[in-house]
Amino acid sequence: MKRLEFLGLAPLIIFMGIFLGLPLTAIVRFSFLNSEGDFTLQNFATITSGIYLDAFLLSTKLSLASAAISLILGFAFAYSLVNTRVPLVKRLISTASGVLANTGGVPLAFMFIAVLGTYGALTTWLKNLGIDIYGGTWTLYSFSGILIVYLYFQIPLMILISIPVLENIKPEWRAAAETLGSNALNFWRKVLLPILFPQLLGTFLLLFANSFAAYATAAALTSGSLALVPVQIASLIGSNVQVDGANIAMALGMGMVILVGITTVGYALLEKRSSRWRH
Amino acid sequence: MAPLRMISVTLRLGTILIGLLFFAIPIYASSIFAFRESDGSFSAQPISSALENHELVRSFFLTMQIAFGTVLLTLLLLIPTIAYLHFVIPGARAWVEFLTLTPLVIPPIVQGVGFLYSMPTSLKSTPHALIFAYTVLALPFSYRAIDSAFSSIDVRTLFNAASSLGANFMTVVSKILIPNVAAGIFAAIFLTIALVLGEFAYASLLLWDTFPTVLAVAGMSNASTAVALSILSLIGVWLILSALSAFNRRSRGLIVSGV
Amino acid sequence: MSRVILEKVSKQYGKTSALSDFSLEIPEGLLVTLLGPSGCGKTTALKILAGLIRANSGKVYFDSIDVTNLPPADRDIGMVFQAYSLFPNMTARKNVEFGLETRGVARPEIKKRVDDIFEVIGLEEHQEKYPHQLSGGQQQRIALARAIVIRPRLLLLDEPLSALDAQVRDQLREEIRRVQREFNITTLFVTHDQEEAMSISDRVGVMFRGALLQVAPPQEVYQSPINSTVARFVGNMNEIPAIVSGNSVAVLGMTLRLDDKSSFSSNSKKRVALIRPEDLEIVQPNHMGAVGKISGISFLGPLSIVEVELTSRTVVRVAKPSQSISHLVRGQQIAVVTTAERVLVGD
Repeated sequence: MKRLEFLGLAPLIIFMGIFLGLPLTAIVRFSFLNSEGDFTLQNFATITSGIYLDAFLLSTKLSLASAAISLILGFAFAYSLVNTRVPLVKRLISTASGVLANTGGVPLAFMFIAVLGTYGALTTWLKNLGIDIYGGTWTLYSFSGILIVYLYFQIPLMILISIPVLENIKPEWRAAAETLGSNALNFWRKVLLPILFPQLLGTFLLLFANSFAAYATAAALTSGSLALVPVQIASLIGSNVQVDGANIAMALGMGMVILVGITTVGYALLEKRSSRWRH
Repeated sequence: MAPLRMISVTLRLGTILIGLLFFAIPIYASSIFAFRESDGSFSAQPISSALENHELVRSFFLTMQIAFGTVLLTLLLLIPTIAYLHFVIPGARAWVEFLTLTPLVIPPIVQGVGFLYSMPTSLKSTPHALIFAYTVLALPFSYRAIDSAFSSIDVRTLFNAASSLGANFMTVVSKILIPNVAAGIFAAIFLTIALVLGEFAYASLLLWDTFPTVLAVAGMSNASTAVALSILSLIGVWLILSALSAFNRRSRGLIVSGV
Repeated sequence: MSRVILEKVSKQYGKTSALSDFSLEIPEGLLVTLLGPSGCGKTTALKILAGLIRANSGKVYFDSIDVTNLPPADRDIGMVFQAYSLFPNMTARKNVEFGLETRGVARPEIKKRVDDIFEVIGLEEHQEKYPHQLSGGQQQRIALARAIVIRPRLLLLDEPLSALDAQVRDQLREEIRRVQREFNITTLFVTHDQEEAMSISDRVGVMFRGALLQVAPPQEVYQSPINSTVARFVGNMNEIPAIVSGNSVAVLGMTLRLDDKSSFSSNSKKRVALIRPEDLEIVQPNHMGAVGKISGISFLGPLSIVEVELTSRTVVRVAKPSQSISHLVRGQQIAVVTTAERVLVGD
């Protein structure tokens, strides 16, 4: 292939170079500087301690939880969906999942305030039944509350990803196992789960990264009260109080990129590995 | 029916039912919250007050403008590039696809910070600069939609066949190429619009009054309006996605983004 | 090995009847093939035998035991599919071991049987490979091994060769027959390819639209088809306009006896004589036969097909040994006669 032919890709590459490359360069650059413009590694030291470390831990905890729960529940939903004989239900749930997975966090957050907030419809309904969910320390803005809201875009994402995966399972495998004397449980254990494992693991990583990077939901819901990494970044940029605020934010950003980057690469590798099996 | 079979069928139906409830309950509950008056009746008051909120209306139009611009830029950038790719250097497709997936690795909030600290002031002083930012954000999805449409046809063969039958370049493009990739193009358009309608991180960081950011602020003072608009937002995205799936029977599966 | 019987089996899908009153016996140790076009019900019959589908009515017997309501896992059968037979996450060897492990066979016995079967199919060096590393033909041989190693009472093959290249298909077809004979396994083979059916079967069952038309050894089906439908489906047939009066048939300018297996309706005007290409002969256009012009000659190796357009505009195909027609050219005027004494007539 002649080198000259690649010139046709120039517009796209230049565009991405400017509007993705420059911001990325800025992030890398500023994370190694302090507010006076001198080189320093202090920012990285800062983000691995104190409130920033807590933020990383909290984000990780939230992301692991939402990824794990949505992996299992989403898969179960998708499995039932794929095997159902009514195409309307399938179409309905896939579209609904598409909506929830693609809508911004703001509508989602408000919807949940309306449902489970202090004066939410569900809260009131349960109160009329005698159950006061706000009786204890729980609020919608606590860890588990936010987790529930996060599940509302994670589970649909899992359903959407799982459907094509499940549809790729050849009925011949099941029939072969049956005629060879295997029952359903055995088939799952010995054939289906091993086949699906790389994809499930990869999807877990994807869900993790998706949850970690989410900002709008947390912002709209808590207005910055829950100390997740994206929220920390936004507040550092917004405030003029913190010295080196911008630089610390950049370092946090770097941290996020590395974390999300590793998980995405892991997802891609696992996908590639499992696709060998499914020509 | 064998007992095991009955158990699995019940389990399956039960799961589907729970799934349907999962989607239905929040919509139902939040609709009640938004539209029910204190006396128990229903009114469309939240909607009418939204329409009277000038800031809200203005922000909506701004978002629509930005959406339009993003769609335009995306199509202008991607359609020629992808056509070129498929026709001249199909071997490079894997690399380009990889390249277009890189925005996924950098969370929008982080991209926004980088944007803030790298772009010239001229660009940062107009909200329409978001068009560039959003084109990048939408790239993984819009690229994939258009690319898979091109992949489903053999560009080179079609082009050669048409040329040998005497068609000139413009005829081939308009009569053969575009109609066949229309489905993918519509998918890209709809996905982009859905993304712009919901994008919050970038806009709030750059302090622009787009629909999502204004909605977020409005929510603090007028909860029912915010909720009503949120429900409408969801319905809007649902309509967009339904239109997309109606166009796109043979799609490669809906691609998704997170919040 | 079992003697397998399908008795008056019917299966409907909504309004369509996939099988109607279908009865078939597969004697012990024989290979019976169900041959028919797509949609004739042959795969449905196979799946009912396997237990993957339940019939609406009728019974299935293995050696006088009624297995109609048994699930596949309890029927002790082996099955090979058209494609995607093997479990992609297991090596070839592990695939073959699967059925034995499920049955709880002891480890030493498993090792012995699997070693043996790999030797039989000649794929010892490929045992540790994964399906995606093997060719289509190899995959199907391993699928066959997996089905046979459990010593099933019945072996079911659902168009196992359809997805393979022509050359691989021929080799594998012979191999299936060889293995089947060696282990004396009762086998049902399903295909739409007549060559396959004729070359390896003990009996061929010709099916059409959910009904079994004829079950007989391949020669009998070919030479003595039970009616015109079977005659047309198996092998090649010329259809030449003919006139029937009583017991006589006038065709190709000759008068012949009517074969009593002919089936045609009494009020149809168009009657055709069904004559095989090898039952036609080319002669000088002097006395007997129908006159025509050679419109094409196809060389097929040992045989050639001479295409003749008769004056009545009918085109017939005559099969001749290639060496005997070197004197014939396109455009040549010749006459066509038949060497048969009785002639099958249809609509």
